[in-house]
Amino acid sequence: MATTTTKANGKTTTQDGLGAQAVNPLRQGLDTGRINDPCTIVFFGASGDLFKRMLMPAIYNLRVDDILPTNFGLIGFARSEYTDKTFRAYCKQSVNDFSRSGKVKESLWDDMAQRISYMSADFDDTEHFAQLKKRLEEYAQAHGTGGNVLFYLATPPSVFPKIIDQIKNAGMDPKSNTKGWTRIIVEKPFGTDLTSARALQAEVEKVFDEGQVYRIDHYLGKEPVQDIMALRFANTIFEPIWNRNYIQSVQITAAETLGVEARGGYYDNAGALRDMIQNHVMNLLALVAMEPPASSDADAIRNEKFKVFSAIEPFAPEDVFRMTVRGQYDAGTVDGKPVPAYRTEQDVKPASNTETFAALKLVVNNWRWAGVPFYLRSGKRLARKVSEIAITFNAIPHKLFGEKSDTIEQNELVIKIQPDEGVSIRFNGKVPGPKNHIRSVTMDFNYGTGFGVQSAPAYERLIGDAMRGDATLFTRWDAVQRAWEIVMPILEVWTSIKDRTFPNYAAGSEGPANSHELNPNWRPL
Amino acid sequence: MSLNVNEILGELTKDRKDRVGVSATTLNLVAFVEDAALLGWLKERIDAIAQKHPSRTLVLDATHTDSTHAVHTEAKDVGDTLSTHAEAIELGVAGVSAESLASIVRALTVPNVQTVLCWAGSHLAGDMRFRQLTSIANSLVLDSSRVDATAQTLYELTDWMAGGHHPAVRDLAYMRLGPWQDMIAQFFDEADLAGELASISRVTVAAGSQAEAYYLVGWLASRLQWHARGAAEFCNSQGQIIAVAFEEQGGARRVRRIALESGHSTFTAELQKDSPDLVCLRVEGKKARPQRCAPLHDIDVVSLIEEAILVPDGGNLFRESLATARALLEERGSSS
Repeated sequence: MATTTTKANGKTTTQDGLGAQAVNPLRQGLDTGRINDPCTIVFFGASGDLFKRMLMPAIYNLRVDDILPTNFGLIGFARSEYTDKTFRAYCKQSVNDFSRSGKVKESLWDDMAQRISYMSADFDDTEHFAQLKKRLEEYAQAHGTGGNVLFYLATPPSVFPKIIDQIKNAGMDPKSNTKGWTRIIVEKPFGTDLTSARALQAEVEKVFDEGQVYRIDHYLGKEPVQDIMALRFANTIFEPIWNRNYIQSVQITAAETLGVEARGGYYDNAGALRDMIQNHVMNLLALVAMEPPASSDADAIRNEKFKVFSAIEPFAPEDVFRMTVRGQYDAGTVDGKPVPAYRTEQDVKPASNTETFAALKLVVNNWRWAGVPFYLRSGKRLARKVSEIAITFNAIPHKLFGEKSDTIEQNELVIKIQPDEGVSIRFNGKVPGPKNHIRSVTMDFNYGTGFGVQSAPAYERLIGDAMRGDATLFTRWDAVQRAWEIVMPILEVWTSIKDRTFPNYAAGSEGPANSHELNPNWRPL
Repeated sequence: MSLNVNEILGELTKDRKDRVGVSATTLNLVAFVEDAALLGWLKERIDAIAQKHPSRTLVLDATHTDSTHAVHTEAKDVGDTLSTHAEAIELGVAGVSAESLASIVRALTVPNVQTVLCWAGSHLAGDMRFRQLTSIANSLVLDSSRVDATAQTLYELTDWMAGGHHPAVRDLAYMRLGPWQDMIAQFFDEADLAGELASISRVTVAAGSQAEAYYLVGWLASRLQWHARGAAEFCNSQGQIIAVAFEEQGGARRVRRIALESGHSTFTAELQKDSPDLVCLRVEGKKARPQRCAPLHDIDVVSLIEEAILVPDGGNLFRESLATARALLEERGSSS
């Protein structure tokens, strides 16, 4: 079941069934920006790195910006040994260390701290989940959180099914909750391949309806990613040329200078295709290629994204070699410093066949995009950290400027996601003087200076949206499944046939040389 | 008139000639001030807005004569290529006629971008300069509780808005009530207490300025379909009387307390004396609840102006609150 959120007569309703509040006439027209529904959020894996670096600072900043509901509670649930007191200190420290708003404001923290508690627990222990249920009931009384519960799976994916099962067995599932809503945020990756994704989904479906599941892909919470929709559908100048008649190709790049850092164990079983392409990069492709949705409703948008994935035909095995390139980094130099080869990184197998670079050429087989190649690439230890979408328009059809016409560059629109956030357009102009010299110029829009506001980290937006019941920026199961279907033939070929050229690119380079055979016109990194 | 528009524009061009890259202007921010004590205060805030939103700011200083002007541009480097400008022009406009003032502003603002007028004059529609400048602006930002200590500006504002076409309007006196409106609404989110709204018989507001107090009562009355009936009372749809009392307490532009007495209970939201950023919410009487305190997210003036720029129209809630506040003021006027 899908989730939609509507506001009418001061009452917020979500399609997962439960309204925010009884009608209060004083709420009519009052838009505080605050989430109306009271709720308790339970973080499974609260002693982990994700919680410390991203999630707790996000929760605190939601409070600073007055977005958290007034009646709010937070329960940490993990294996590590903390008391409520030491966990609060841990949370405070994580805010002090990682919050964008700086160190905690004591007046705010005092109120927040009393709403935070911790349960040192074993995910296998049924009794611990029974205690969690009791704790939630106590929160409802003590903090006025009602029956609304948001579970957040910030654990390794291997324990997702176990936790979901325990939620059901303890009677904390949505069907057993008669006093409010129950939702669950599931961190990526959602499965490690099509089979495991389906198996996980089968576990999820036993307990939650689709409208109660929020599969997080933090890329979708980034401001420039959200701006793709605004750029396309809040302007009239782009849509008429946003098709095969005017666009020659689309390049989507997610390049990192970092290696695998401390994630060698995870990454060696994943690789660039699973870690980046199947989720982040495919989601960017969907936003660029989708048709205008009929409304801003979550499902209207997600329907259009799914249609894009449906129009991408998975490769036949023989096409994998022609349409994809994989790479693995060797030792090299990044930012002036020598860095080791992938195979010598911590927790990586010495003869690993895992790709740290992946590039694909996809075709979206529909009326709008037929014949337009979509080039996707992602990799680690590349020359520059950059995430962007570059749309290259066709060459001019008539050589008005004689021989000089051959040197005229094609128009290009670049949506910059990180580290710069903004949009740039390349067009051509005449160099002042008596001769007809044409030169390309770039017009830049930068979020930081254009609007003068810092983008909030993606997790703040996404956690807030899940509390509101707005699933627009979360990935629906049909899209997840289809994205796996698209990448599976590649994974199967890459897994069964080792690449004997590995390592095939130096750290700090532009990736493997043969990626330029796939696309000679990659934008330089 | 000794102000030379071309000379000022020439100075702007000269001042930015060494800048490399692109000039990005997102708005014209025109500030009119005729109180010397407010000039520095307003300029600081306008500068703060310009730091965030690439702007051409035009400070019209009616405390100095038209022989004075100052021009300043500022660039920010972004990456390797882009620099963006904040351009500030300050003009002495004492003695400049309304028509001339409008002509100067037209010439000095960047065409085709939003023009926001921040008005800090002593009067509104009674001042021809206000009428001329609002005819140019896309939106108006004013702070009625700074215009005068009483709530008479609400009168002027309502009449001017009723007079025909006008730019979008935001009044900071109303906007700063947002956290209070939310606090009051919180009492009645609980279904068991929502029913008490129908039996409210008395409202007391303690505030340092009248505009905020009237706006707060105007908002409450407009939501609950109360109609002004006398100098100090409303009447609800059942014909019951609601008495209204205002107490002058606390600092200017700050609400200190609001108390709503219903058939069974009294609902009070009050700033803590020893912790001015904390509001305690009490429900006493038959439906008493434990006292709860929450931080008051008091909004600074720069943020309010920024909000007014980004959302230029106050919407129906503002207009209805203003109209209801004005109706009560009118009753007071007619009874005195």
